[in-house]
Parts: sequence; C-alpha cells; structure tokens
Amino acid sequence: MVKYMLDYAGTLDRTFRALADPSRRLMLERLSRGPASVGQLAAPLPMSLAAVVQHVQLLETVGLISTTKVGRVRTCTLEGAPLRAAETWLGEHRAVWETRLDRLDAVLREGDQG
Amino acid sequence: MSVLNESWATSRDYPYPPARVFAAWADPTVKARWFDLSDGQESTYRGEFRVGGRESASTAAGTSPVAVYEAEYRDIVDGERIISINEITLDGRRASVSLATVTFEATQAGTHLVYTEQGAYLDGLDSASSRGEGTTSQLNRLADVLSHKG
Repeated sequence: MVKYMLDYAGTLDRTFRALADPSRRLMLERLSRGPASVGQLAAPLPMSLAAVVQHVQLLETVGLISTTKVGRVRTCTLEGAPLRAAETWLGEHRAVWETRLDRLDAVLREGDQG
Repeated sequence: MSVLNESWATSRDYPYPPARVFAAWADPTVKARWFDLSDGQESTYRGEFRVGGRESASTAAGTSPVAVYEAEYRDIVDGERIISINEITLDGRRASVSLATVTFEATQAGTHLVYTEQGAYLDGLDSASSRGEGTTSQLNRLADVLSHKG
C-alpha cells in the first residue's frame, strides 16, 4: 500500500513539475488546439531545437503528450482527457507550496545577514 | 461535483537547526514573508500560533480568483511538528479542506522538513466544466497562478 502511494505520488510529482515550466505550458496550449510537429512547437519559443526536444521528451515521459515519427518529422499530440477542475486546482496548490518552501529558504538566509 | 481525496508530500533540507526553521513557521511576522505570495505592500497573513489558534490570509480583492485561506492549529510540538486543518475558498467557493502536517527533523546539515497534506480537493469550481471550458483555459489559469498573478 505504501509503495503504491509512493509510486503514485511520484507520478503526480513528475506531472506537476512538468506543468510548472512556462515553455512546456505554452507547448501544451498549442497542442490543445491540435497536433503539431516539434518544429512547429519550437517556432515561437526562444530556445534551441535541442532544448525543445528535451521538453517534448519530458512531456512524453509523464504522459501529457504522445509522439510519432514519420520520416524525419516527429508529430506531438496532447494526451488524456482534459484535467478535472479538482486535479488542476491541486496542481496549482502544490506549486504554490513548492514556491513557499523555496521562499522560506530565502527568508532564513536573509535572517543571517546584518 | 466530485471530490478528489489525495495525499501528497514535499520536503526540503535547510542548512539551519530545527528550532530556527520552526520559528519561521511560528512567528506570524516571519511566516507572512514566505507564506504570502501576493507580494502586496502589506501582507494579509494573520496567525495565532497555539493549539486552537487560527490563521488567515487572502489575495487582494482585484485578483482573480480571490483566494482565502483559513486554518486552525490542532497539534504543536515545539521544534518538531505542526498539524493544522486548512480550508481554501476561491471566489467564495470552497476548493479544499485538508490536514497539513509539518515535521522538522534534525540532520547533520541542518533540518529536514517534510510538508504533508491529506485533503479533499473539490470540483466546486464547476463553472469551468459546466460551461464546457477545456484544457486550454485550465492551463491558462494554472499559468496565472504559477506566475503569481492570482
């Protein structure tokens, strides 16, 4: 039971971390309007194609997208049913706590100075 | 409407002794500095650090959604553990009711902090699903919150 919970928690963690990146959210938003090639996903992003490929691989690993390659073109498709409101809210909430705990670190360090 | 019952946890290692890290949770003036993400001129965070004491915080009136946090401390072990019951509403609708457990463990490097939440996360924000809004708007809302606009 505990192992199952830890495995499930790990999947959620990876999904939330995947969603926490603004570039990846832009990519998912583009894919919500229909499938796109990696090149099409890369076009509006200020980063190298290699960096985009890494983002695509991460999104595929956590199951948010699927990809197929035909010839030299890799096409990405958004996966899964739309997120339920509660799941979306939980993702936001967890991201808020990650930020708070990061800020706690900064506050503790500020206390050291002066 | 549906309920999502979930347990999740996250942790950090801080290079300070547990008493120091614990104090940043116990002192409301200090807690406001890291807990309140709204970065307004004056934090809305208020807290009374004792068993039975309450906490509250809210985002500014103009933000969307308006988030209100209310909590009650139920267990405090000085320097070691804090347990509280939390409730969050968004635009007046209850979004979650949860049990939050924070533990502070002394390590060689300082403190290992674990934050665990066991909660009921609610679909009470059913306006989005009932209006047929899809993934795009949900992702946009997520983006706004993560960039601290909410």
